[in-house]
Amino acid sequence: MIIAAIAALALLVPHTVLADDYGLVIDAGVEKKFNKKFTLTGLAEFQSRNTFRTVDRVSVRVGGKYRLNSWLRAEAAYQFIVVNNREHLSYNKDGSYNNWRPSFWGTRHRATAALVASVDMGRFNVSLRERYQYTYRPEATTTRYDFDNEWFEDCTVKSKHDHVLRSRVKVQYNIRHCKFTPHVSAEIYTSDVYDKTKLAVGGSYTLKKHHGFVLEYQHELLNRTQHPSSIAKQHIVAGYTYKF
Amino acid sequence: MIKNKLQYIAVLLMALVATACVNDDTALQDLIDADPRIKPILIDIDMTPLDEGQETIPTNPADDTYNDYWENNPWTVSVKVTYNDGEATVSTTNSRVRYTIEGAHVTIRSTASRMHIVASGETADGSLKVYSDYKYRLTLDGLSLANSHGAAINNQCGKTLYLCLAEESANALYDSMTYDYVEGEDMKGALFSEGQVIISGKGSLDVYANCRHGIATDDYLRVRKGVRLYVTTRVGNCLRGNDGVFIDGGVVGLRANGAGSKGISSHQSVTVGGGRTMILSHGEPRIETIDDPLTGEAIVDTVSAAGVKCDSLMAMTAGTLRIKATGEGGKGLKLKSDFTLTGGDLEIVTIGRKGLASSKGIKVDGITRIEGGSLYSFSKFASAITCDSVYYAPGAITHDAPSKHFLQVKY
Repeated sequence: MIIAAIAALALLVPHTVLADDYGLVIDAGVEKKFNKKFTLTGLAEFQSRNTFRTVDRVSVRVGGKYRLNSWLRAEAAYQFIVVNNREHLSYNKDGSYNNWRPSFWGTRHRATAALVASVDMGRFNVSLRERYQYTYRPEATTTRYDFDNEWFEDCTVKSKHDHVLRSRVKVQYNIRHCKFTPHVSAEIYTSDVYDKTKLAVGGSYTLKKHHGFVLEYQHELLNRTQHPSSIAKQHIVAGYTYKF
Repeated sequence: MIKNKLQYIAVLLMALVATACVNDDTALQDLIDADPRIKPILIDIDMTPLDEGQETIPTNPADDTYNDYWENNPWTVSVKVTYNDGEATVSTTNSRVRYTIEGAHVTIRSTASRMHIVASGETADGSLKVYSDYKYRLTLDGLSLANSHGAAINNQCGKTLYLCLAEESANALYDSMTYDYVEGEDMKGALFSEGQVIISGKGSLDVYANCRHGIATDDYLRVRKGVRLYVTTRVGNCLRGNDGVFIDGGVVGLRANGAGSKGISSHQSVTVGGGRTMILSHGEPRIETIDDPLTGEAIVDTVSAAGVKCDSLMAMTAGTLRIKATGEGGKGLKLKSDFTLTGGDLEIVTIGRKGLASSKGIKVDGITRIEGGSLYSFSKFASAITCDSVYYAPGAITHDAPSKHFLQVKY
């Protein structure tokens, strides 16, 4: 119900105009539980775009989870991301090409802090995660082609600070005598204004308590007033976690 | 069983990762690589003689250009001016021609019609200034004249000046770095005329302008067949005719070096109807502070250099016009009205970078009509041509680069 409500609200904002892009997210992580309250996590992630044909980003993340009580836990993490920045093409007023900055590799530093509340309702588990996400993009120098001068020239991509609040509702259903647990979720991204919604459906599977697998389909709904020309992503997520 | 499936999934995922190696940029690299990077043609000043055939002198007084030919008038009042190393002598038998000489600075005041002045000799500090009530003919017959404080030749007569270059004669005019002006009189170049100037004859004239323009007239300027004219300016324009510039023929080499200076400049029309004209414009943009015509406030204006600047119609009907602009923002043609090309060969190369001004090959504020002849325009850093619209007559063969920097039209 909650997921459906968020999805319905998200759909009230103008969203899909451009064709979506399809990508794959593969991550492999480890979790080390030190005691009943604290768990250390590590994750490596690969993400593609352009219908799985182009590397979008790779990243590594380290973090921790701390259980505050039976229904609330805190999370924090740092993530180092290497991004294949998309090309940027600008036009003159007469429609001719002005500058073309080809795609280039850059880095991001990301820190997150979150509170996760969860409650069991029969065989359902409903969780709410509020995550603050700060991302720093360092200044980078790359090249661009100037069509007026017909040459490649250096150009500087300025540093950038992004602050995003991510609010996620996730519902899991515990199937009796089954190691597969299906889930649906909806996550709203808000920077200064509403940014996008990410809807997901998938499931997790645990093998011999140590091996955790996740398979998920994600669908982005962009706020087109904020992102008039960006391409919404649809991802297939495949994850593996080894728990010590 | 499950373990096997997981292995399959893992292999599939690894395969998807391995195949994610395609660049998703727009395929512009192909466009960039496909650009032929046309090597522009070489444009330089070539003063070698040009066989132009026999010149047709209009004989019908109703003809618009009838009065532009000295051959249609008798020249009965003879005046001879001879310069010699800081001194000058004047000889005439007509009492209506008076003159003064200061060193080698000659001033002639004439109320006689049909006056013909023949100037010759050489001096490093002299000049010729003429006040005349009637149009007159001035023949340069081996004259080398340099003035230390103004124009070499200053014509204060508002009527026609027929400037004739004696056959096979070599003539040179030099002005000074600064001018001493006479109140109420203009002096706008090394050769200045209040009235129209018609240059003719099969001699040569070299003009070296240091302070202002090369040849300037407050009326119009016409260059006839057979003339060999070379003008270089340090500051101003090479040829400036307020009411028009008409190149009917001759070999004309112009080298404009000053900021914002032009090879040919006119507030009215410019016509190239023959001959071989070559313009090298080396100037950078000139920054001027002018008064806003609406508010009266001082505003900063950028004046770019150009091969030809014309505020009215420019037409090319025959001959060759080659322009090369090398300064920042230097243009080939800078026209505020329409441009028509019906004959002749027009070649323009601009290689100056874009800055305060854009180094367009041809900038036309009006309409361009290319109905004959040939056009070659190359701009290394800007457009080969910009205008409201271009009209090609049927039969035009156009070739342009994938980018906008090159345009070639032939018939």
